[in-house]
Amino acid sequence: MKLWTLDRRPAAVLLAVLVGLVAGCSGGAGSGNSPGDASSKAGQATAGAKPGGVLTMARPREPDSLDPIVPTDNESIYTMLLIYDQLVRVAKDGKSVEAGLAETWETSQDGKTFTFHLRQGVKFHNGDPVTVDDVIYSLNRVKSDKKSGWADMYADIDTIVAKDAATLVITTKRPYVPMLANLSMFAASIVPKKLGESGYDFNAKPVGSGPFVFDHWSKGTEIVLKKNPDYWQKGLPYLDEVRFLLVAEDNTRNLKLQAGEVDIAADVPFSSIAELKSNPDVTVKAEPLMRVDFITMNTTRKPFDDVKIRQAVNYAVDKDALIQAVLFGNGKPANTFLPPMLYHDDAAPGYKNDVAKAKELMTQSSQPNGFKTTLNIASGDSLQNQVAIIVKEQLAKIGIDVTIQQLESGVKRKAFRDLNYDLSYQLMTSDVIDPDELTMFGGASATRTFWTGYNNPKVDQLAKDGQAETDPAKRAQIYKEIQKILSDDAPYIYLYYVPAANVTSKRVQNFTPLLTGNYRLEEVQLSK
Amino acid sequence: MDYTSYLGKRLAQLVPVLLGLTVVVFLMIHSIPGNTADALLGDKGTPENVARLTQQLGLDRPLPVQYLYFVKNLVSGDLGQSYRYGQPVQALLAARLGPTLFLTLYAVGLSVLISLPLSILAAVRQNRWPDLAVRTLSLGGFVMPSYWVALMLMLLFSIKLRILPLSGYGRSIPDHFRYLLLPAFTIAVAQAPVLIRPLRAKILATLRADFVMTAWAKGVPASRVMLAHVLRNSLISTITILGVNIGWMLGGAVIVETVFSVPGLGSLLIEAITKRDYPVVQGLTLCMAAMVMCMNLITDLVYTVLDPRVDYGK
Repeated sequence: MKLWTLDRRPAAVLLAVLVGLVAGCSGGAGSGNSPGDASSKAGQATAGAKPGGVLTMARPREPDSLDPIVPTDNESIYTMLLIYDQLVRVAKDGKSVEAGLAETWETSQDGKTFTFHLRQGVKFHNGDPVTVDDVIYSLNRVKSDKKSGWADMYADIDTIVAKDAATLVITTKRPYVPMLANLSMFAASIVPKKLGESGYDFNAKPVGSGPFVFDHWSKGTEIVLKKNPDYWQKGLPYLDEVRFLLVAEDNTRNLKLQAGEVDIAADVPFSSIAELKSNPDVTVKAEPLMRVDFITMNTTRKPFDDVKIRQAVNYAVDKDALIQAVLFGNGKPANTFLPPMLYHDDAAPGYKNDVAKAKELMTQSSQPNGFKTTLNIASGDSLQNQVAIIVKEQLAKIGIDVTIQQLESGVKRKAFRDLNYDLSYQLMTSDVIDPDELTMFGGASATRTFWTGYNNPKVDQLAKDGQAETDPAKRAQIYKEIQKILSDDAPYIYLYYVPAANVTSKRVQNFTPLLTGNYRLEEVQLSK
Repeated sequence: MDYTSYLGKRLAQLVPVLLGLTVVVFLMIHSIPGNTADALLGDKGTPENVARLTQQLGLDRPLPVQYLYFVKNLVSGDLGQSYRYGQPVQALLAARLGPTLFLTLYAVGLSVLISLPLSILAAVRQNRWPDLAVRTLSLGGFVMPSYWVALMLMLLFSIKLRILPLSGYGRSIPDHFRYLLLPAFTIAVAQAPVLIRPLRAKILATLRADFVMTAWAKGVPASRVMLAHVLRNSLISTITILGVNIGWMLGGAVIVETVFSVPGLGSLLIEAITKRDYPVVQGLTLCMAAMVMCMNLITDLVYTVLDPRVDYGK
């Protein structure tokens, strides 16, 4: 048995320390020094800020559901992570996990047995203690309840048993390294067994053990959460109450912030960021997000079955120009199929804009004189529309005539899934910090490689190896290789990594969305 | 034919219309290409998940069967379950009906409050500057897109002056009046011109009618001539226009509710459409259509009260 350690590259550690210092909180990834031990937390409050108060946040959409095993949308996820606890949770560096309801844990040498030592004395919002039985019940629920939309991510679990009242043991059929990352997911939230077994509707009134207690949800208007006074991280949360307002209109969210009616406006359009940055009363937070945008190429169709053509279009598309024109400078060129996250290869060269090279590749390809093709985008999506117009112009330079086809999003998705398209604008986001989810989705052939039709047994094998490899250095190597193969074979036109753009009023302190996009509002304070 | 049987006949006429409406609504929604289960699961849906959800929702059954189920449930007052919220559609509609009704009536009230005095002013000062000003203003109000009017009002009253809330609905009735003032005014700005022009013309015509001349000649006070004789006779056409336009206002409320984040039927419609929540879209369309039909009926009934000359026998 060895103590679990995740990849700890110097940069990641430094970042974690820095973020930890800024937030006045020490992160400890499974090493036993849980972040909840700092009883002096309230004393470390940011200067000028004080505990208490109501934080109001305007968000563009409502959650689909607050039952942990059901939803897939971000508003649900970000809300649930404030209400429920998981065994472990994503650390602030976004690349490791840290203690949650499990104070410490160990992984066996063969990578098939995971032992968790549960935090004692934690209570659910209804006053019941959190027991090992609740944990077992909750994990079995996400694994096999027929309502669960996330069963796939827990399919490798073989047994979940209690060794004693404070110790939980999970075994897998084969070495499965993404386990901890998957257990930090909202879907693996711990709910009271007693309620769950009596057919309780967790969507109607969620009961967890997290920093905030669900108060009420007026559909179409607001969700209100209250401070959990018994939260296991002593001194947190600072806020008395959090209100999530539904404000669908982008402009209205911005204006509401400027009118001082909300403290945070989520998901503001990139076009307004420059203007907001010049406003002294607000702070713009453009944080990296685990999201990658690309144009998929249907490799089962001519001429995209020709790798030279796929590479040529990648060289022909100028990502920096797209980022300037469409994202107003807020983004980074995508250099691999993985967004900025654990094992993302920052040094990968990607495809720098090089029209001469693109032309040369075209002359060596099956279509030296160019060809006509169609790019599918979702109608009414201004981002996709702008990208399509620029890409059309750029591909015209190497003799490719692109017709832009606007399709209703359902129609577009169907054409995509049926591999009945040439080019299609798509994006992927990761729900976990481990690259496994996106690799299985965008690299392996189970999804026909994200419906590009690309099929590479070598990548499939590497993806499986990646799940089983317990040595972080070797694992990094595996994912580096997968990224390189997918970059060279180019089933995608790699576009960019988009940040999450949130704007806060100056009185909001310590609002720092994680790489997973969620925000730990328990650490947020309001200045006087 | 007396009033009661007239009412019964009019109500009975609504049934086939509603039934036809269900067919149209049902077919329209289901002829949209693309799979609901796909749309619900988004880009995360694996083929297995999609197949499972399709079966769960009964979307793999033939369309006529799905329609019959829909009508059967409808008759028993069950509009189905929202795919998204898993709640009965009628409960969702009931929760959202209040704000929309409040907003619509508020907007109707404001448009009448704006258009009545302006029309009278324009009519009695025909072709002089008040008349020209009213006509120009109403043309302006008519051509300005409500989206833009909404933003301008927000900037002025909520950001510059900070006297009115920017968006939302509030919790109490006085709150509702405050929160919905800007959205209602936005609708009224577009609605008032539609009322002003015909009302002005009608007042002008009525002012020249013989019975008004007689009233003047008898020495009836001016205020009584205007209110009891001129306005009462001129208003009939306005009520028809208003009645018909309430349907239009419900449509316009979709945009205004979204811009001002009013938790009404309009914003629910937008959410339901983007999430492909078919049962909610169906329920909403039926509900809105029923409201329009009721408004038309009420308009006709009010008409008979205001103008005893209307013969409801035919």
